[in-house]
Amino acid sequence: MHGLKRTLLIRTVCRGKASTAADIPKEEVVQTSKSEEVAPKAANASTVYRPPYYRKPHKYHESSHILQEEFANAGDASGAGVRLFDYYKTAEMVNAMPTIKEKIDLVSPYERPWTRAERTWRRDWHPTLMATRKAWGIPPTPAHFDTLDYYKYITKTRVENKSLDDFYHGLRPPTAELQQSFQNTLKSMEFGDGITFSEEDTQKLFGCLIDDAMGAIAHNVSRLADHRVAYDVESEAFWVRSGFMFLYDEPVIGSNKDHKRRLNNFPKFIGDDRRKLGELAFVHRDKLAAQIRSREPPALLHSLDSDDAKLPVFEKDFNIEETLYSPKVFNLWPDQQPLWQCPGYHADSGETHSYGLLSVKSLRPLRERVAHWMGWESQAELEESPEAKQMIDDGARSQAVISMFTTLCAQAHTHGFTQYTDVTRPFTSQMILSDGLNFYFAVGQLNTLAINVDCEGFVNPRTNFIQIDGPHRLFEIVDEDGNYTSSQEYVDAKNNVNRRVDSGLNEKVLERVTQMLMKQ
Amino acid sequence: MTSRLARLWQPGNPQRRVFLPDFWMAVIESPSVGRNKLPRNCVKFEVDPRMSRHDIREYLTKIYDLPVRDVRTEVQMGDITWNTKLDHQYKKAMWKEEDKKIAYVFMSKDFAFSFPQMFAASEEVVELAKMTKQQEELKEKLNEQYANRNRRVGQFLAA
Repeated sequence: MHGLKRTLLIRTVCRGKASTAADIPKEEVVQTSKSEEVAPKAANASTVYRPPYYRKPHKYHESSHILQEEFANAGDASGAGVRLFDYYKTAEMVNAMPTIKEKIDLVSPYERPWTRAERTWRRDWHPTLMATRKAWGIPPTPAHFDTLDYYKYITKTRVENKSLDDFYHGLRPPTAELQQSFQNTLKSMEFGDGITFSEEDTQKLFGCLIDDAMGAIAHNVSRLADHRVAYDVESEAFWVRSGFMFLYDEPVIGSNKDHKRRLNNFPKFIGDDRRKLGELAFVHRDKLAAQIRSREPPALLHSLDSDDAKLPVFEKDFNIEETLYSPKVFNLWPDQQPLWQCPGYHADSGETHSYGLLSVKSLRPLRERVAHWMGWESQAELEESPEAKQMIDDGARSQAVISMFTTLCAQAHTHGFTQYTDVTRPFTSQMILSDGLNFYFAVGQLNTLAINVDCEGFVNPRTNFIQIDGPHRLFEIVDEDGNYTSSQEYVDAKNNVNRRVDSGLNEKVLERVTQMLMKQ
Repeated sequence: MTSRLARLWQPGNPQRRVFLPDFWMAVIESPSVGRNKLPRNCVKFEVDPRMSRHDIREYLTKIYDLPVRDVRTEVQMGDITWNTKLDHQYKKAMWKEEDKKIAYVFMSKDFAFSFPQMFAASEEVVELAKMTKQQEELKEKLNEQYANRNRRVGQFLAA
């Protein structure tokens, strides 16, 4: 739906009726959703109450006398009433939409840019052409070296850095065949020590890894026959995140107050709603090297009602003010293109395998970026410097957070949930992130999408979750003939973790890839 | 790159090199709140408009030995003075300020920068002000001792 049309629609909604479910006669609701012949309830019907058009969604001016201060209108005291009215009204409209495609289009914050004719023929007596809304585009690889906390905030994801051994407990697949076939693949692609391997080849390599792993266990796991494998997949999602009202603060010079919130006569921030709600739109257009989809959803990590789903994203003493800045600080750029929800397929494509079981993402460009940040011309020193290693690690984890959220958010949308109609069941997925040398394994769960409103009276303690395990090196040394040697962890009889040097690739990595394929 | 005039180049001479370019950088303060707020490890500079990101990184690492991680630059257009500002159709530019190049330099994570307080009152001035105030008070107290309180002015009035 075009931006202008949508804006008009929303405007109608803002000025539209507020009604509870009890007000609406049941037949009418059914008829409205069934056909368009019956006119929807008129906004000016005498039975409905709606907030007047002049109500603002925030407290927009300082009170000028004591009466305004002490006896503020309940509706104006915080502005939350109008905001919530709009939110639930939109939810009502989303529910009334017959197809999922239309639901996604309705909640999309995309507004098309003004056309040339509109810009040319605007006259001073016309309303000014306010900048249309654009989403902040999150790059496919972090373009800043300190993004983890910010990405955690904008996706409301709790991150746990822990081994996934417990999660895959009891699954011990054979890896000998995969070891053999993947070594052959590496040799045939001339992988060598992998330092100078290109991004394109890395993508192909991961496709081969999935093929090899499936080939190695397919004879035992009949379920794999029904899975769908896709290569070079686009995974795109948009969402709105609240809590950016601080963008309208301004320092006050020559006063005791250190800052003042300016909402009148102050430019709207890019990506924000036209009402200056501090709700920025984000979009992530991700490229996955491979994806495996199934008809059935994978197993849950925890239920929506459990305490795990409500643990906070940040620690208690964490200072969020030192993380929240303008998206420009994290090198995000405004994205003007139309927005999609596409977890590897489009909502109207009739895809039967709609649950992403496992995705593989290449982190190869990250190595180049980190080398650039460190001021090095080559990537050879990356493994030696602790700071560079830390940067790669942080970058990989932030990418895991954002990629996982993107794929799950898009998946939830294609199942009919939106940010206005929050998920009623969690979505889970697994992910492998790697630059070809270091492997990260992640398991994530989407518990909530309603992160777009932050006002009084809207309570949503649920947080999303991701558990990241890694990095695991694929191998330590490669000799001139292309034979790999790796160091492996093992647990001895006394339960101590030891390391031993083995020929071949790291068993742990190959085993984990296979486990991810087998996990139900 | 440099204000020095180079010797006329003749065939066989070595390549012309500039060892001390006349580049300059100045730290600018950024607000502590709002959309232009910057993290602690980021320093904002106004730089010579001819400097590239690479030059800025080299300048700070080679001369000041700073842990520079990322440099982003932005060119801010200078203000234009119009003859009739509101007349969009026929306005003419009378004067335009020079463009400015602003560099945002991100240092390593543990680096913390705070803008120096250049115009805060120095310690000496504060002490001096305290002394003067104290002396003024003392002076009044001293006078108090010599004030004649036995004049019984009221008695005459009452009488």
